[in-house]
Amino acid sequence: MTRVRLGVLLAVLIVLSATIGPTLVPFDPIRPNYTLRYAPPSPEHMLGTDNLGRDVLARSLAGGRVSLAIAGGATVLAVLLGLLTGLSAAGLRGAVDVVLTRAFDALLAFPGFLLVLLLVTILGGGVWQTVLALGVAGSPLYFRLVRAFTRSELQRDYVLAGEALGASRPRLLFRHALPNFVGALAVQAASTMATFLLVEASLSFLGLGVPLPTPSWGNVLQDARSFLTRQPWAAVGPGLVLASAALALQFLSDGFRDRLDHRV
Amino acid sequence: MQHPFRTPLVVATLVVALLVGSAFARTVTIATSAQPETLDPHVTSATSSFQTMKSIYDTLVEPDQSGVIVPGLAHSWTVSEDGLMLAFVLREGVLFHDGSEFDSADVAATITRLQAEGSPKANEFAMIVDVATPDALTVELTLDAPAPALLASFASGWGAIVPSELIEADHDFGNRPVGTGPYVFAEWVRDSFVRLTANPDYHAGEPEVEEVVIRYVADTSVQFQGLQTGEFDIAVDVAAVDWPTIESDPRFVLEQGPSGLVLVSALNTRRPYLEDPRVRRALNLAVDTDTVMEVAYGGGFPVGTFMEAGSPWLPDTIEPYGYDPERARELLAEAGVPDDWTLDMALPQPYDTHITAGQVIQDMLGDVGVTVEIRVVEWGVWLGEIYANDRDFDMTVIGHTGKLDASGRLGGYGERDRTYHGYENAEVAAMVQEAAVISDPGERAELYAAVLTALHDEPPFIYIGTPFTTFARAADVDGFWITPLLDTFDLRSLRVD
Amino acid sequence: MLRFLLSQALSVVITMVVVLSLVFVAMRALPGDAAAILGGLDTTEAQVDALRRQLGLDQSVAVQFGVYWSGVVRGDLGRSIRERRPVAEVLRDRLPVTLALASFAFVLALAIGLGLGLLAGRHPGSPLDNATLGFTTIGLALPEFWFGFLLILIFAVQFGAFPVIGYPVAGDVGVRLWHLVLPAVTLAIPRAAQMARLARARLLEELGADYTRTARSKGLPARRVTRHVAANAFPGLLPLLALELGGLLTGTIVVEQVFGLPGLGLTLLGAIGARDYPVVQGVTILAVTIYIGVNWLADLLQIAADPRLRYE
Repeated sequence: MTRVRLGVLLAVLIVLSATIGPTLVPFDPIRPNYTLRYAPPSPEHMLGTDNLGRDVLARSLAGGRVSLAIAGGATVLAVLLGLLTGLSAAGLRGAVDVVLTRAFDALLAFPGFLLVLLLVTILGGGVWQTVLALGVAGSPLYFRLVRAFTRSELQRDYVLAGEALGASRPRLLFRHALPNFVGALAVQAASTMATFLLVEASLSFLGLGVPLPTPSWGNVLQDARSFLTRQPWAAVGPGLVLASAALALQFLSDGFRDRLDHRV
Repeated sequence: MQHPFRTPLVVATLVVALLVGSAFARTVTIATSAQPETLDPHVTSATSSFQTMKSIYDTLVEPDQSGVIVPGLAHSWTVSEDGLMLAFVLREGVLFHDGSEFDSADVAATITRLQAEGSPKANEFAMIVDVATPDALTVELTLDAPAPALLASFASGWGAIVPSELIEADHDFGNRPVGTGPYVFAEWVRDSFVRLTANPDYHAGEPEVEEVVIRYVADTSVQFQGLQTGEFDIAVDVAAVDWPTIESDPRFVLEQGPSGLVLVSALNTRRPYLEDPRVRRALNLAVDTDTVMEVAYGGGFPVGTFMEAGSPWLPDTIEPYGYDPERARELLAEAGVPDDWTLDMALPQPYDTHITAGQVIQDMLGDVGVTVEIRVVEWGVWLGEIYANDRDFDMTVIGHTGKLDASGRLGGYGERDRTYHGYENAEVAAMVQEAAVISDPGERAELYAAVLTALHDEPPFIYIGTPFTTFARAADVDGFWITPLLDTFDLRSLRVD
Repeated sequence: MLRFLLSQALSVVITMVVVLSLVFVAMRALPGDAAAILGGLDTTEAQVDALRRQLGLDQSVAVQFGVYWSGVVRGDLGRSIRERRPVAEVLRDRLPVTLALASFAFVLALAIGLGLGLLAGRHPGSPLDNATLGFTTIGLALPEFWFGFLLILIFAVQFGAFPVIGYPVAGDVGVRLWHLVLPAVTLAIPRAAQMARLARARLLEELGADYTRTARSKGLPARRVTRHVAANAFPGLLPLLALELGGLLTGTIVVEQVFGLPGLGLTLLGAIGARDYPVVQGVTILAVTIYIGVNWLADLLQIAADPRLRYE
């Protein structure tokens, strides 16, 4: 219970800071200010300034927008891809099922991060490319989940009865089977989004993420590395924000999973 | 007994520390950002490769600390009156690292290798039509045209002499280099380090430091951290942000000297509006290069044309552009540049300094109403798509390393297809070509001065400046030199006090 | 059983063929040119062309594809463009570093993860349990590279207890281990967190099982109950732990980059940057093989742990 509350609280804080936060900090996250380079933390610049004199807090907040959007978008993409293919495989069976299962097995044969790395290299750096790479790499899990859930739902009495009464398959799938496991998918999705936040940051660290000067949490951290010794807080601050965002999602995922488990 | 693990752990740490201490006593470790692509001097023109190769190979002649060409493996040379003959007299008793003796046959075989297909520097040696070796210590080159820059080519990293026997055997110099240099190659772990050991038979005497490890550390902050912990004795690329800390610490010395680099933001003159010299001048006026130099490169000297500050080729009539955004706006308006003009700036990764400079330039051009969109590309993409082939870009930021002769820097200038910025000027092209084949130094200087003036007046670049060569060293390690213009590492007088 | 293994082996082979072909085609579609990179900044296009011919990069993708596959079938992974030596040799040089790092980290993760998990599971709801829960949640939320920076800053730069970067490939075992401490800790923390969660959950499951209740009601001392429970919980954990090993292997890519360890991860990143296709393919083959192998091991362990699965 407490974890859910803590998770919600953290999540609300982070979403608020990413949405209205940038308007509260009166500094431009992108425009340089050469007179104020490497300023230490002060009441005005709480996390100091970076190599171009930009406010690190402003960049962290603006970076949150980009990072959360990427991780969120990629999660939605992964779930949608998994949902469409999983429902098709379980609903249509036969050749469709075999082909889709094999295809996702092939994707699963890649260690996850390696797959993302190869995809991003091929697609090039950028917001959309990163979303696509993460979404594709994350989809096999949802395919498996949806396929398994759907298959077991289709065995249930209400489906058999519905079919006997002449209800169409797609209707049964979407109206009756899907609502029964959408909660479980949401639990998993929160956890996936937490992972994606961390992976996006790692990609930026490797120079394969969102290109500069767009701030993302990964970029801000990678920037901070080049003056880490002089300005440790410029790395510590955004890193903590990123970690709390991942933490919030993890709390939500765990908390809701416990609730679901109790219900079942 | 509350912490059963503590004591053994401390002992283990001490033992390890002792092992480390004793094993590396006579080793000097140098950290630098860029690793070699290969250790074969005749298949690359990348400075990063020559920085390491400099200690393994020797050249016939070489630049001294002031950039003047002095004897190397050849102790003297003569050029005929008409400039069509170049003869070297070689040093006697020099041994290659494999034990074979260095002689004129090795020079002849090396020249053939340099001229072969696939050698990136073939054109610099193309005028050599005959190599005669009347005896083991004499090499006579016959040229089909005077080549005033040939000596400079022999003094450059790619002039490295390799043994003829191994050339014949198709030896893998790239991974197992064999030269006559002060250090013998021991080990190369890609993406990590090269280990070199002192050459006891070096012709100028065995180097003092027995073992040198060159570590490739892309991140400048890590180089600094390693210097602080004593892991590195020399950090070649310390960022300007860390200079004050190094200077105030008695354990370290910050060495600064001139460099041969010209930092530029190249403008693709094939593109609309950028084809107009007025616009390119305007962009030069719109950028406060002092700030760019300070913020991105830790300061340096401004330049007004495509030649490093302090170069003897640079005519004193050429002034840097200076910062005048008002005038820039006027010129842009005069040229009819629209308000929504947007430039595509491709910046090479992982060169943090250029990426920072690009962001500063983006900001400054924004002040005169020019929008710049930044795109960061990997180095391989930059070389393949920006510098060559499609050349799909409006602007970029890069540093051009020094050359011992002006022809190295200006070859192909004026001919659209031979340069990435595509600067076209038939007169300039003719002068560049002429200067490459006349021997009179005065006439050559005049021609290059005219070329450099044209490159100031119709700039195909935003000239940023010449930075310092800066490196940090532990106070007790001295004698590390960075070769002027070539920016290679000279370890011969390295010593630990 | 045999049939199951054979059919799995077949699907692994099919997967590998598909994967490799995808990587091959995709890598060729990338912008960037290995020959241009090798040549450097002052090369003319004609010279880059010559270099390309020398390296066989001027042939059509179809021809290169054929050459590559006929090699792979014979066990030849081709030659590295950048290093100009056989890919197999490159992999052989680099694999030991990655394996050393991964096994060190795995042992650490096992020790920390299982230890904490079992302790926490024994006393659910205790402060220790809550602390473990906190650790596991935070451990999973830390960006690895960032955690690595901090470890370097604190333990290498401030205290000078460990090296900042690098790995003496030919050094003594002690020296090599010393260089691996911080990287292994960085890599182990999230895996330890995951393992602690799994171990705790398994233990709680067993503690709630009927036999435990029986044992308790029989009046068996708590310590002995725990021993029984742990013995029962452990086999079920094995496959999950093996799966963690797979995740740990990819984690090495980032950690090797942070600490400058010349293993497969650094090789892969270097090869991607230099457009050294054969090496990217080689590392991919090796990584996928190891990963599938580990997953396979997990399946086998699962079957071994649960005899009911044997006849499925």
